[in-house]
Amino acid sequence: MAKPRPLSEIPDEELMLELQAGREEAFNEIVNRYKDYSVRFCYRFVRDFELSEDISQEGFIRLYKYRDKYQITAKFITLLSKILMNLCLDEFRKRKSYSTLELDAMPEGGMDKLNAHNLLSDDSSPDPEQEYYTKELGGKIKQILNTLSPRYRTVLILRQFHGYSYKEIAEIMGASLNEVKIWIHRARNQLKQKFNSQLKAV
Amino acid sequence: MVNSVDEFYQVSALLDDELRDSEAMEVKKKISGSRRWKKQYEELKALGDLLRLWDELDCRGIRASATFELRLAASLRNLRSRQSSPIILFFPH
Repeated sequence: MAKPRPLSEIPDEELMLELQAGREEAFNEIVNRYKDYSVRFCYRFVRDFELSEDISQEGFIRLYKYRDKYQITAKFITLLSKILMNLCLDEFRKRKSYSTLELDAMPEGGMDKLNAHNLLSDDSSPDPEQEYYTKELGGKIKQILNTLSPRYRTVLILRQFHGYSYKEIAEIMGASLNEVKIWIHRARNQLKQKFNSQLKAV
Repeated sequence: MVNSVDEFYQVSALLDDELRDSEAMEVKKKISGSRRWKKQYEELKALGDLLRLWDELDCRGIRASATFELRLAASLRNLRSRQSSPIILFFPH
């Protein structure tokens, strides 16, 4: 009898089929491959580590429950991202807002001080100044993202932070390519205007 | 005549690498030939870079904790016991 293929050599989509067929260890392999991705994916939505772990856990449970219905119609990562995205959006709805930082005024020097290249000037040793500006900038960005509608916020997170193409975003969000294009540009336009007005206010 | 909304959309799509080659060439030409287009491009690019780099910093070290799999295994055991399924899940360490 032929030995089963090592799980590490099986593509994601086939692992789901193995799981469907009763090979439970396939799920362990999926979790091993995607646990870090899942936590980071959720973190980019909620910006809270513990919450992103909880949502990821729930995402894997949902995936497990879904195993019998699974069909290879899209990439596995699209399915997982879709599950996680929906859970994050549920969380937004529950909380209404996901901004947790207290937002102070912009630091002296305004936008110049919040230049991302300054923030990354020393990768190995984040100094207090760098941390301060990261926090300041993060607070500002979160505040502005928070004012966008969930749909616009989602497309921006998927495009800007995860780097998904418009086509991939359309698959994850279950929307048409044209809708995604319009949403991304509108979201970015709103973001730009809000950034400008925030800076003018400072 | 191209209005500022079209201009914005085209520059935004260029930055996302979502234009066909011929369209991208045309937009690049407009950017190099017009101060207004260039300003639009530079502003959008700066905003994108800022967001991306902040995200990079903020996500540094974000990965599943050491107890992630154990917690998940416990949840799955509960789920299966509710479903009265005899499946045994094992997470290697």
